[in-house]
Amino acid sequence: MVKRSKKAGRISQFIHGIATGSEMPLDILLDVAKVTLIGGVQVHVEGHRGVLLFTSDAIVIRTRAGALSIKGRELIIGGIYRELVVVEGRIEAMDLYPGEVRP
Amino acid sequence: MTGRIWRHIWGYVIIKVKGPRLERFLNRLAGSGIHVWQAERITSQMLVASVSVSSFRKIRRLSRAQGWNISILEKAGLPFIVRSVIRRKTFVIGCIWALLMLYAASGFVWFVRVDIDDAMIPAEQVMSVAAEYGLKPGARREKVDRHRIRQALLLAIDELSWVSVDVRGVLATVDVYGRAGLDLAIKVPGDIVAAQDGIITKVIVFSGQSVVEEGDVVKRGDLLISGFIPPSSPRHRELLETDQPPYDRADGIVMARTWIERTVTVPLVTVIEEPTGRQSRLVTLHLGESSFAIGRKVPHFDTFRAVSSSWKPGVGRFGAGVTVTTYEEVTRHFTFVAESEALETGRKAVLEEMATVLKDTSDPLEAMQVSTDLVDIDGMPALDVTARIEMTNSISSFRETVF
Repeated sequence: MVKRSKKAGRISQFIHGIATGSEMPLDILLDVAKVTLIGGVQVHVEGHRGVLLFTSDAIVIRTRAGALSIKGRELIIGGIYRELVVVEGRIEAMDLYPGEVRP
Repeated sequence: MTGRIWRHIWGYVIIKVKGPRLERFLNRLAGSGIHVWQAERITSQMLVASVSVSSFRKIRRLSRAQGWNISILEKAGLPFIVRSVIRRKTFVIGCIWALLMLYAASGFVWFVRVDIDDAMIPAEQVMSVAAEYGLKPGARREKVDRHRIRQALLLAIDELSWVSVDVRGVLATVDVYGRAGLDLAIKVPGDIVAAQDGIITKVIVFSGQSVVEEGDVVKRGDLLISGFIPPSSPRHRELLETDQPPYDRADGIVMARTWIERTVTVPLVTVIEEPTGRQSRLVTLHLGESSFAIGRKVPHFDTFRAVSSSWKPGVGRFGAGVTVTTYEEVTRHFTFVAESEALETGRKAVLEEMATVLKDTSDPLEAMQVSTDLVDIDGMPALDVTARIEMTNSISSFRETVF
């Protein structure tokens, strides 16, 4: 299990190197989430893996890189698609908690 | 934005979902390819979200199996609006009937307006001639022969120089221009010049050459229509051959946007003088060019007012006379006037003044603008109230050309 994890890390580093060298988009090559903050009012999370927590003060979204926590006020889910979650409201903080998250 | 329009076109429902683990509900819908928007968490066991009408059936099926309770809060979008409208048959019939009536009514002239730039031409006469030739309230629009009415007006009213008949919607406008005050008996050559400053809005030339065009800014006395006959004209040569200057009488109408401004000053402090009863007198004797004062030249009062009376019966340099100046001690009281009160007084006065100025003019373009300014008059504060109005009027004035 540990061996596999190390191997995955090396592959990831290798892909990262290729992506940096070839200037290709990392999120596509590594299949990780892309988070875009628009002003302090909207967050686009592309490549999500589901919503873990949804309240008006905090929304936690599961991504491949870990749990992405969005804190703020009057938060709503502006839209949820298979690949994209749009969070709207007054966004005050975003944190990424790396690691595997179980739903 | 486009998505929002489509949602309204296809219709959507706002749903209330009750049950445990509502995050899982959202994930399940997203995983099934069902789009959910405007999801709002109301309580830990309830959320409100919007979904399309087509998705709603799938969601209901899915939720039943998982124990989520779904109910519709609101139906929105075009399909629901259409459905509710169709249900009200009388309303629909009424709308169609109103539209038909509106369409039928728009085929008639309902109002006839006469715009006259010359107060000498009676509007009633213009209206009656126009009515005689078919332009009156209630006339069918397509029956209004604008050319015929125009000709009839020009023939019937001698003072008219130019007529325009315009029908827009249910309003017919008859625009008439008089001879702009120009005496038809004037035969001498001359130009049309500006009677006042303004911005040109319309130029109608009856004879001569226009030297200005719409939008030009002119000052009083500027040439507007020249009576000079250009050398390219055969008449230019004809006149020169008969030893006459190549000049004609210019004639035309030049309309311009002009303005009138009037200012009234209202003092913010009024001084009331009350005599104390103490007086001082200065008698000055005049003898020829010399004069002798008897008494104090400058009174010993701090505040006073002076009244002089003279008696000079003599003539020329040998004349003699007496001037008596009475200095009356006064105490001064200052009364302060509130700015709002001064503004009201000033506004009233300036509007009255403007009304007398505007008595003979017409067609103000926009509402009168009143502005104020704090000024200092002899060390006392005062309020300047200025009224300004813009209007369109004829600025043509004939000026004879002297050779």
